[in-house]
Amino acid sequence: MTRTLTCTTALLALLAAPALAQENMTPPAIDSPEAESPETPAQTPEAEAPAAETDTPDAAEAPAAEEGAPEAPAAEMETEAEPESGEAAPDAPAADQQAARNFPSDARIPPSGTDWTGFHGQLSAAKYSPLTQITPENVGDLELAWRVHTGDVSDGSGDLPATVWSATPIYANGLLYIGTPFYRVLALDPETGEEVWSFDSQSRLEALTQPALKNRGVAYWEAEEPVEGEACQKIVYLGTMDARLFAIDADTGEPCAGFAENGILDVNQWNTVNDRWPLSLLQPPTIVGDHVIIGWAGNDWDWAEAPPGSVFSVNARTGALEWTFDTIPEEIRQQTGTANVWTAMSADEERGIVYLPVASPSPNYWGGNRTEEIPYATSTTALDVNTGEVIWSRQWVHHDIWDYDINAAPTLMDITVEGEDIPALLQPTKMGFLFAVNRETGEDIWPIEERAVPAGDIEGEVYAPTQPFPTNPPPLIDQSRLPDVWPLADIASFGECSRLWDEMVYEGMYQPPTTEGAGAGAYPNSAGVVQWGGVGFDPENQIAVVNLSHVVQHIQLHPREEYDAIQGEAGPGESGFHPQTGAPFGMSLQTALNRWGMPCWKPPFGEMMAIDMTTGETLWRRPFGMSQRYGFYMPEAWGSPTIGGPALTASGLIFIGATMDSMVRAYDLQTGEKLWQDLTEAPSVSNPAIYEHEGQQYVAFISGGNSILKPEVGDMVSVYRLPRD
Amino acid sequence: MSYRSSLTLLMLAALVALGFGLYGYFAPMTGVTGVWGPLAASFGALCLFLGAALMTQARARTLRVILMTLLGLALALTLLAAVLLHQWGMVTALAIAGLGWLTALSGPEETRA
Repeated sequence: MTRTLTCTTALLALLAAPALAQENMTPPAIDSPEAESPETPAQTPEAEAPAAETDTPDAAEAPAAEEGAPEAPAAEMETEAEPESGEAAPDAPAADQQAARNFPSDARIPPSGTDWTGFHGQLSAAKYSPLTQITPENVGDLELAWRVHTGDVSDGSGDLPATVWSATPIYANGLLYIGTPFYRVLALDPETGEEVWSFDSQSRLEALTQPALKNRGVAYWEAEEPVEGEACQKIVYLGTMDARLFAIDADTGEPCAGFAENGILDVNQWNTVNDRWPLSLLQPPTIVGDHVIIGWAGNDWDWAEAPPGSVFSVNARTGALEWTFDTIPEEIRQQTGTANVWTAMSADEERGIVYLPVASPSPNYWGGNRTEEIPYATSTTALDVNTGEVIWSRQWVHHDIWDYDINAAPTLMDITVEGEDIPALLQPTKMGFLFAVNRETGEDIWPIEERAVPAGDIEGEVYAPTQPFPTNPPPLIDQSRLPDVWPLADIASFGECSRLWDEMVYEGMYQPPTTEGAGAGAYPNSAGVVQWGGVGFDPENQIAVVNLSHVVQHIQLHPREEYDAIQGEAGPGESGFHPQTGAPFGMSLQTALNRWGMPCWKPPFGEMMAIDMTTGETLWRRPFGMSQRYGFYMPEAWGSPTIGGPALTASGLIFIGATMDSMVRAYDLQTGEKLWQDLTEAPSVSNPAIYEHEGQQYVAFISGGNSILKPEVGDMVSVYRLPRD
Repeated sequence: MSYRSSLTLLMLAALVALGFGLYGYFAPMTGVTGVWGPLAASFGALCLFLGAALMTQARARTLRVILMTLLGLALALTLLAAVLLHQWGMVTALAIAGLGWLTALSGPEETRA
């Protein structure tokens, strides 16, 4: 009986504290630059030329800051034709040849192809399939085509760290390619799931830079003019935690000997400043033409001085370094770090532009070591894909001390606003803002205003007087106030939640971290309103779809001596206590839960919504998924925090996992009505893949889980199709 | 239905509910595999079974009233747990157990006489 009562109590002790933390979380804040069109001449390095170093961005690329916004100082970008090691890159194609290629743009209507060749389906990150076999009318008939367990899973209870698997399957070359958190590649028959080949990188299974073994899949490239009978005309790329990039023949699973050192590129060779940890390649690289563009992840929440952010472009065939883009000005790289690109990028192939979602600098919650401007930090930065030069950049958070990393690829879209066709880019953010700009110039589509934000009380810190606020589309959540206390959680904890609300300092989303009270209220926060699943886009109807989370946290700085005395423990992801070694303050990040683990804020905890991108208006919005703790499901009206994102079809469907309840679901794009669902092994914390194989449409989900949502992890691939006649 | 039959029904249904709860915990892909929610619900079902078994031996009216009250509470909480666990087989079994509990409320025949 006692047990039963305990059990009932547990019913109330619902949600996993979604201390969502990513590889590097940074909040977005934009300065509302009057986006001047980039006047910086694009320097196209000759492949044969010795490595050239070009000072780049200055106020010209970083859009002009508005009144009150800090000026954007120059950062540095290097353009290299030779690897820094000095080794020749004999096979690197000339950049001007590259530029001459006639890229099709999949950001345009209709998108090209029915394959699913990247992390977000297409380089535009639209997550959109033109397939129409599965419709709102028949999606209820979906059946499981096949389901496999990869075996690459760990719950952390044994010798191995836990796994966090956020991969999206790649469909290309008639096969389904999957990367695993044990750093293997599986090539599966898309119809049956049978293994065609596998490749094991033999990577160390150590959580060198993350709390868990992580993988977000693989990338795929194929030669535009393949040489008959020659290997590696189609290549699958796999990154590892220990900073190695493997190139594998997509037909055979054999390493590509012509790529770097026998198929292995040591990216850590370029980790030369504050190299406290390897440049972990958890997110697959972005393939644009013959460029393999590489970002990396690290452990920026524990160090004040960390590896400074950089992005590398290497030749797809040879692995030869083409250019490097550094996000932090050279003169301050040593004293800070990161502002890296750890999530997916997007690209407009026709225009030859790659778009970088750049994270925050180190350390996350104190900026006294980086009082200088870092204009590319917490930004969307557009680079010439051939040279790495900045075309434009918009900083979404000035002097980021909230870990508001830009954590998702911007979604490229062609939209019509007030009769004008605009090549647009929509940048989702942790802050719950969707920044809409012209992707050619970085100019506002709807006004993005600089507004005054509160200053803090930490000696030696500097505070940006203003931050960028978009006026349309409206914010996904109301960041001007904390959500109301949830009476159920408050009563169950005898007023604990109300007391916490009183003890938090909060004057809106840009409340600086403090040592006072229970710290600064953080809503939104590092957990992110939107996660790396990003925004889906239907180009026919010009509708954007996004899932979002409501999570309240509080951030407290602890003077070094006090921090050392506390000896608090790190929590899931980036929550808990972290030293910020090298800074005068350690910090703690706690989710606002009561003693039973119940969220102190009122539901919903997660939602999904659709936005008319011609006007920015919300078409529909509803709670999404079920929160779950200890197995107990909470009502759907309360929603679930989400990690992962949607995939859309031309027939008007949204497929998505992303919720704590491990369900995968289909919704009607026009109405938001739930049409289908199925249970999988663990939360599907990535985007699904939609593909056509031999005339049949399939939808593939990977259920890998993420300890941020709940402890249960998985190794399951589930693929669905309509019944065959 | 006789008092003894009612308690027998309650015990059998509680055993079935216990089976469903353990299945939810141990079987793969139940949505609650390996977490303690279904174990707690199973414990509730076990308590129901043991309580009903005790009822068959209880002679004193006061003891029966106490036991029936506790059984009713356990039944309600376990049923709520099963609902929140989405273990619909367990819910069905507990509903049948509830039927047994209701019919047993009237007490043994000799008491009624």
